Amino acid sequence: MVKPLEPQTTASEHAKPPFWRNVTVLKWIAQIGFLTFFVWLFYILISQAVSNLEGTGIPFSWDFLAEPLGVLLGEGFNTSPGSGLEALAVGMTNMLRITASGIVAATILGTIIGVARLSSNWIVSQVANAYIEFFRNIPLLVQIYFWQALVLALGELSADEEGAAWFFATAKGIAIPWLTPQAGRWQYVGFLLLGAFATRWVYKWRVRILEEKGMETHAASWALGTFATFLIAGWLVHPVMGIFGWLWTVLAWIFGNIPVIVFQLILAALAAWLAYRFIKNFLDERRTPAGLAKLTDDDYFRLTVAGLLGLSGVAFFLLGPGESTVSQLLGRSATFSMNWGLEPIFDFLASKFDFSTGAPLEFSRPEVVVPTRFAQYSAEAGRAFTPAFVAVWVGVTLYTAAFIAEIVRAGIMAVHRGQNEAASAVGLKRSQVLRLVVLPQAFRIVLPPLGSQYLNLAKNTSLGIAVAFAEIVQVGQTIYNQRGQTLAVFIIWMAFYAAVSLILSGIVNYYNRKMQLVER
Amino acid sequence: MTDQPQGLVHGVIEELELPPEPPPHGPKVWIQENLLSGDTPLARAFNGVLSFVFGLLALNMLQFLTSYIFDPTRRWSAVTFNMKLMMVQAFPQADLFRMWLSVGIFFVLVAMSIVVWGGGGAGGRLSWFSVAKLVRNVGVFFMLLTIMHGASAAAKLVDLPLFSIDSPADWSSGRLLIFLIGLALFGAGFLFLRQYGPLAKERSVPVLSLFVAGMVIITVVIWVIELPVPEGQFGETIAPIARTTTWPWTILFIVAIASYFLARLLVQVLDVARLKRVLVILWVFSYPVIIMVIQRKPILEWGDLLGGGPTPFQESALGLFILFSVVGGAVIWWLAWSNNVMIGRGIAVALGVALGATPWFVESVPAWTPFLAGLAGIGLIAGGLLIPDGIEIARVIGLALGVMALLVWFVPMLFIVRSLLIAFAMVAIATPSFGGSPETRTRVVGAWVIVALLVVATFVLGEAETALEFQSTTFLGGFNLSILIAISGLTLSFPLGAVLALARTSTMPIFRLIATGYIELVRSVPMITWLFFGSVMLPVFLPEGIAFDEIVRVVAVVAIFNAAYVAETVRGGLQSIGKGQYEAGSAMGLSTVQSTSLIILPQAIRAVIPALVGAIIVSFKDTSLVAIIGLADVLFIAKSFVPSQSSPHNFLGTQPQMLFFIALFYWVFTFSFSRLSMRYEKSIGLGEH
Repeated sequence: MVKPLEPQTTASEHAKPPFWRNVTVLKWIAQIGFLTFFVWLFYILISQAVSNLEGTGIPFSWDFLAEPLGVLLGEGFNTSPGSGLEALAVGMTNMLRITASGIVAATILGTIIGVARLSSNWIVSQVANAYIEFFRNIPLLVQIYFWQALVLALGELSADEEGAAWFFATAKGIAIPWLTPQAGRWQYVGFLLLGAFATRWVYKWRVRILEEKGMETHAASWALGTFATFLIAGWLVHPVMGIFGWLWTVLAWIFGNIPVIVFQLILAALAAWLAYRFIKNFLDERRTPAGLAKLTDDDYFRLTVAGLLGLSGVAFFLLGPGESTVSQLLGRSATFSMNWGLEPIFDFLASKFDFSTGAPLEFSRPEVVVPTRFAQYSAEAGRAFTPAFVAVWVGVTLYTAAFIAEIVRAGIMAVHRGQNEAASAVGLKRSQVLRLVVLPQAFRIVLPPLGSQYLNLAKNTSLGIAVAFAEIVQVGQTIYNQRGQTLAVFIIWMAFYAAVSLILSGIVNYYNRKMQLVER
Repeated sequence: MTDQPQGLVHGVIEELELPPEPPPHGPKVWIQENLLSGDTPLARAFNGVLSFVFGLLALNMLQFLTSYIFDPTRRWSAVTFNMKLMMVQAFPQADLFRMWLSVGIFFVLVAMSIVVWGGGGAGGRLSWFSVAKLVRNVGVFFMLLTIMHGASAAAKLVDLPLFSIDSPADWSSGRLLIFLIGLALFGAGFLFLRQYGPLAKERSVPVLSLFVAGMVIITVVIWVIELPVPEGQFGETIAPIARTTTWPWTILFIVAIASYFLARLLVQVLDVARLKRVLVILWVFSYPVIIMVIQRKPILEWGDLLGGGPTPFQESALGLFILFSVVGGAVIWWLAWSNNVMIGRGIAVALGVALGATPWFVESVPAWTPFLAGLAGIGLIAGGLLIPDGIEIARVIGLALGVMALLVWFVPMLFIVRSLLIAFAMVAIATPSFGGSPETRTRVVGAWVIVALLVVATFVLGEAETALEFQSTTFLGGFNLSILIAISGLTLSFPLGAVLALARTSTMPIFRLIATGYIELVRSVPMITWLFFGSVMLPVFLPEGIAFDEIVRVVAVVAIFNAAYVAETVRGGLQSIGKGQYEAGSAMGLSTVQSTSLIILPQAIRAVIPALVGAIIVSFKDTSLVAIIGLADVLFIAKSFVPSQSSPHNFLGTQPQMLFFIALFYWVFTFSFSRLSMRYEKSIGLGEH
């Protein structure tokens, strides 16, 4: 819409313009008009889609989530899932596996290459440069295809190789030694969590002494030592964590017996409280000694939306999906088994903390077995990665590492040279200069672009579909090829990727904020 | 892939391919300073070890590369024999000159643009010293490439676990030739540096002439080089590297060079500013013309243009064009400078009657349309008669035309008329912001006539049958399709992205909310799922009878997807513009639309050119993803079509090497593009504070 100029008036006589020339009014008319158009367009498209789907004889439904599928997946914790939901869960875990391990590996490799790129050694910096220019200028899809072709070109796994070895690399995939989790692993992980808390406490304690007394306290070594102690001690004493099993049982019982209305009330109160806090903070920010600042229409809009969101949250939780307060008041029983999934979670935990003894992890070498005529990797010993997994993992890791290397290099170069010189001038050693002065500052610059590279890596795992790696997109495609529920599958994709993106960027933003505080 | 373009990443690379300044005091010092540097003996030793390890690593990689390339079992003729397939897929052989013509137009435009924008010294100059160094290093690279090959099991000069060198006695003639070329280049560069080193630093050569040299070399290569061929039904054992493309490339190179010199003549004769304008228009039109006219070879008949439908105008594209450009042009002529109120009243009343009355006489329209149209018509007539100010009447007309643009979707009419009406509404709404004087009138009306011509031409050309005879669903395929998706997707995504960025930074909350939601939703989901959306789900959302070709849907999805990334980049630029610019704009009396489009956006976009170039590169790489949904782009053909050929030549099992070639192919494009953009950024002084 065309917006007129703001009316020209003198300070002495401020004539209020008629409403059709009032910029604020016009802006709101334009916005509401557009919103109406937008909502209407959405409505048309969705209703068209629903009627089109009905026309094809496959009406939109979520039924496939619970029904048996009868497909075999390439890999995952369950290669013959019983239902659509289970298949999707396998796809999600496969995707998260590659994302998590890929992020760690790409960060390490990228940092090394980024630092190597800045090396004063000509050969080292040229090799790093060649790596970066090579990997980031070739489409990732081509790279993944290439790695797949490379793995498939390795020799066939023959029956002669039966037995254990340190390493196998054949067209069936790559197998390496692995620490296989055993019965007591949950107890061990719980113990290590305790250890992490203890480590954090020890570290803060040593730092506090350092700051108070100004003496070298070796905080990092202390923290490392504490964690190592837990790591070793836990191996032997993890069964004591079985006590927690009782706790989980009790909690599961409690959550199983609290009426669902309590949860609804808690969540509704939380929604109301969040909205209240937002509005209060917002108004406080605009409060000056002279009173509340004049609010713009945009401010009013934010306040209204916050209030409405809070109210709809309250309504959602009280009248919410499934068994609602309303239906309970109409005479249903006051207890309800599905308490936001808390009871099953604690039941699950309780079943894992059961005083079981023995090593939590067991080291084993990969093994080739010949159950029928064809040789294959043993599922029990070591760890075998399928060619598709190797192709996607190597592809996204090497590709992302090239970008991370550039980010790291730019980050280090952005730290002013004066910082380096000043640190040396106060007598810090070279390693100290790097550790205490340059790297923390570089890290702060590096973090936001690094975060977006992590997001890219997570999204790029979707290219696994090109080599039939069973991640969420591939599994989803299998499902809609079989059941025709394209719309439902697409909604699941969007929700899943949005959740992953939100969590990843949430973590990065958390560290980013922490880093920004260090600045002052 | 779905990378967020990072200014940080593509922006700050220095030119480091060449070794540091060579020794005024000998290679020994250079080695000491660059390979064995350090303050303490320990550090020097450590650096020495690093140099050794990384040097070995580099040699090893090179060996892997060379042994792969020179392995006698490789069938590189899979690449050369299928070059046409990979470039244009099923495009008929008889019409292949259309493809060459397309490339030729591109060459001519590039050559002319270099002259017109770059002036005499376009492309900059390079000192003879750097050229000689480059030649020398290329020579070293060639020699290394041939020496390092250790694949053959025959006698070896050096045989270490990590790398080996085989005896020259076993070298094939091609390999020896490459080695000798490398030796010659090295020798030439080395001797030149030795003889004229200091002098060569002061003399320089234009970069463009190096390009010409490159063209000459390529021409020589395609005329001379021959490759061994696997046994085929033609019984040949050796074939030229380029069989059918020797003459076209040679002619194209000559044409490019000729048009360069022609442009130099033109610059001296004609006004440069006018030349620039003409070239911009040619650039804008070249792509649609290349695709729709040159490549598609439509069958055009006078009957299509004049129509032969039951009613006049209904099927006559020419009639529609004349009608719209005359009547619409008159309205726009007044809107551009709305000084005469009486004319405005006339236009408002006429438009109001037409708009308000038409839906009442049309059958099968939704019940609410006549009322909305009537309301808009009455409002327009009332406004036209009551408002005393011309510019206000212009705005009311714009508003009513906006309502019309919505209504046309519900009134049955030809799609071409609908498109013309919508285009007219858009131009008319924008006109008051860009008019304002009698001089602008001709320009705005001219712009409208061009828009109308474009719309009509698109329809006429799109509906005409193609005369091409191909055995596929579309004449587009191969690299041609990749380029089409990249260029069309990007071109469409830039305006959309700019609008989204403005909406996201706007003070209007609903626009901001919608833009933010759009951008975040699009960015959080990988591109491949959007491509599936386009290929599988988009048809579900469309009403019956409206269907688009899969390529059109993919282009739309690419545009929608890229727009979110472009929007984030442009937003960065918008945030770097000081508030003073807005205030200066309104102090000059510009409206919000004017100051945004004339002051803010140009600066914001200029500030983020490096990041936008990054976005273009990413988008080019991303076109390869369409291979997953089964479109026959260059990657899909190279990966699937070529390795499945068994006749006339057996190329089964060549998939790895086809991928190798495709990787190199993409690499050459992206790498040279990013280097060119870095040169350009430096030349306009971006990124320097």
